[in-house]
Amino acid sequence: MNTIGKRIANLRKEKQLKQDDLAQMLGVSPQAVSKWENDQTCPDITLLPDLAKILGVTVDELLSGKQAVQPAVTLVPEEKRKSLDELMFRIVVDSSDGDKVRVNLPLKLLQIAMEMGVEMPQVSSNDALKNINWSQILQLVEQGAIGNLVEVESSDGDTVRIFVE
Amino acid sequence: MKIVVQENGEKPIKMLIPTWLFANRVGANLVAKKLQEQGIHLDKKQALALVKYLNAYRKKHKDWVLVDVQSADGSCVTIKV
Repeated sequence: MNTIGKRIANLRKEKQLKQDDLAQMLGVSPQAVSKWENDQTCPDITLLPDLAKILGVTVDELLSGKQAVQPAVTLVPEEKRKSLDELMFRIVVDSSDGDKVRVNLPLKLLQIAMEMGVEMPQVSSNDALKNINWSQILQLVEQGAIGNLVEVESSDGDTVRIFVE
Repeated sequence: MKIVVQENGEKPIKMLIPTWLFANRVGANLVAKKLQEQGIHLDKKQALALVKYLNAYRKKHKDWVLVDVQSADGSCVTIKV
């Protein structure tokens, strides 16, 4: 079951924060964060807006467990663009039966692999990923597009999202 | 590399494996060989270049979570490089 504790833990991990970091940002003890994540206690209501903000969701999303809104695709102007070294390519797979897979690949690693001729569909057994043109995605990112670049929903309810941040 | 496996409600099993054990020339050769068997063309030099980049990246980004899998029954597997 997806509880609020699990959601906090998942979102914290996605943001690559440690329990200590989150505790420090909210002015609580790391033990308190641990208890939230293990569903032993719930965060104080006054902390929810800050907690949601840090985790990049709304309070409603945090409490209800509705899927967090992913960033829309944005075109970053050339002078503000990050180098490929700093960008992360995130593959998010949510199966209809509740399984979740998150893969985080540095974009540069993907670029090197593509330049070497490694075709991504060959290393993926997921049907939803088979027809994705990885070089086009990479091209989009090089031109400054970041955010939710691909969203595929299969007939059996599995969703695959690819976003760059 | 840290691998954490947690079955639903059970105590997590944490495995700490030094990344240098496989992120080296020998590891790169093995990966290249295995991929070639699966029809993916990657020679030893290319595999080594990937491993070198991987090593450089993980030094820069200490908390890089490569894979995080959570099953519906609450079990989870996390691989942190």
